[in-house]
Amino acid sequence: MLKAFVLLVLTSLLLCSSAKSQDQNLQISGWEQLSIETYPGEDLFFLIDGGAELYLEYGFDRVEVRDFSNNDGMKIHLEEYKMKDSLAAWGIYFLRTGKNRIEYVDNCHISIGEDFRMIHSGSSYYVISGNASREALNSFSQSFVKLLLNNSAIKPFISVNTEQIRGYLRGPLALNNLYSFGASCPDGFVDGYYSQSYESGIISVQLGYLDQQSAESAFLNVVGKMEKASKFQSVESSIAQKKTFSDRQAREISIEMMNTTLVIEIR
Amino acid sequence: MKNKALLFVSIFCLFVNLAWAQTASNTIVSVKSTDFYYAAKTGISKLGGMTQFVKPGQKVGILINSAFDEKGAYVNPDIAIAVVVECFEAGASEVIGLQMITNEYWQRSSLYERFKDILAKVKMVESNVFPATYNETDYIRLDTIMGAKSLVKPEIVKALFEVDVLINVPIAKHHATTKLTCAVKNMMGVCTRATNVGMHLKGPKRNDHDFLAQCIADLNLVRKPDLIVTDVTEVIITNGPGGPGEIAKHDRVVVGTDLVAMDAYCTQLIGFEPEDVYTTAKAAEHGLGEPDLSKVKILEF
Repeated sequence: MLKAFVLLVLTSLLLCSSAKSQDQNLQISGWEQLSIETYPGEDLFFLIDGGAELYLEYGFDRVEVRDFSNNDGMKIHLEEYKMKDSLAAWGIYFLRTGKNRIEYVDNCHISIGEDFRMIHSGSSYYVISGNASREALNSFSQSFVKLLLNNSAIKPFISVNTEQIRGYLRGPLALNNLYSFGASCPDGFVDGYYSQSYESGIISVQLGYLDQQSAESAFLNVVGKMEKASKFQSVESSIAQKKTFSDRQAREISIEMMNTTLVIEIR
Repeated sequence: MKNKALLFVSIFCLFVNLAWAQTASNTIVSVKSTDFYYAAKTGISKLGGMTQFVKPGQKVGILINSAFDEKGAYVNPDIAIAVVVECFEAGASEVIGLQMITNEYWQRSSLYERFKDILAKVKMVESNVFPATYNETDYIRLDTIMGAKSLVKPEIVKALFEVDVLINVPIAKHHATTKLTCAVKNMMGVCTRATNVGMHLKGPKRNDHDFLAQCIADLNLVRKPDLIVTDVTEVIITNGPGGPGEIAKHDRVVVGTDLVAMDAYCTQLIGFEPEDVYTTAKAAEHGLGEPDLSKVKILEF
């Protein structure tokens, strides 16, 4: 009886392990996976040369790095950043996208760079790059997206409305990445959203706080610091809940407290 | 009589050298041009010429921020090529890349074909490629750094101590944590990844700005550059250090010898606020240069 039980456990373990290895080996038509490496937590610093701290601030779990080759000797490098949740993945993806063209395939967002593709899907953010022709990069990316969409484990993020696309902020490092508040940077917000017009340069940010008291305290704190900072100059304002400053580059920064939210506009 | 004349000439030369040294150490040359090779050559020339820094037969170490892929995140290779060409023309016996410079990087320049023979002569610390790991042949662990406040036992490429001349070739761009990465921060390129990660993680809290900036300033106590050639041509001012980010086009190459003044000037040039850049302040506290630009002679062309 005991022998049968041990045999059953061993068989189960074997099946699990082979399922896992199958899961780790991505089947992309025309490409062979050569290797996989995993960097958990702070090991990310050994993969990314600068900026790893931003991923950690958003909530980073691990990254899986796979290398592929095809019969023509081309190489593709695929990085999957597994974040703590969908918003974290979206936040990093959107920050990294910059001015790149974005395409939408069902629930996947694909950012098209000159020699790379970035994809957001579920709680992961993917980067595809490599020593391959543009056609090969496109073909690999399309096959990979199909694979993502066929994988029931990937949950859709949001239905995309291209008119209302917004970036997501979690933590002061991300906010300072958009505009340098320096030591005056608003802190303690739960999360934030922003939109940025590359034509006009206007950045609109909404920072959400737990309650009105937290928002008010953050508002007073930020305004107090900006009033003392030599880089900002206070502009007259008749509304107590709204303050406006100008910086040395003559940009106007307005901060308004609205219930549990700080609304910031930089123009 | 002959001895007196010789003595006079020697004293005169000494004064000329001292006067030049004084000028160079307090002078920044900033050249605007869309021909970046020309801008770098002109900048070096206006500062007194490469022969002031590199003597015939000397070994030169160059530290180029070349290891990124996005435009505006790495030094334009035309500028790096100008530095290499200048070094060899001045009579350098060896030019050593203290951090690995790939052939792919040089090939991004339209000047590659013209200078590929010279570039092939550049030696490398090949093991210093991201993520660099310690090995006894190429690295040394320093037990202490005189005057350092936070950095402990850094692992540094040995070649840094073996070269006669050190030329720092950074790009002035955005960095998520330190706000600016320029000459002071570029020195992290001589360390192993473990040392650099320690600067991020071994502070009072993870990614502590103050601790990181202090470690970077401490590292610069190890060796000051003899010459700095900074790329401020097309640089990312958001989403750094890797980008892609918003690109600011200044078309300037900035040349100088004062580590702190150079970073302070470039900070101003790309529209960042000096008080946001802790690395410059910490380096100034170490006496590594002049943070007050009103005390620096700035020649803009």
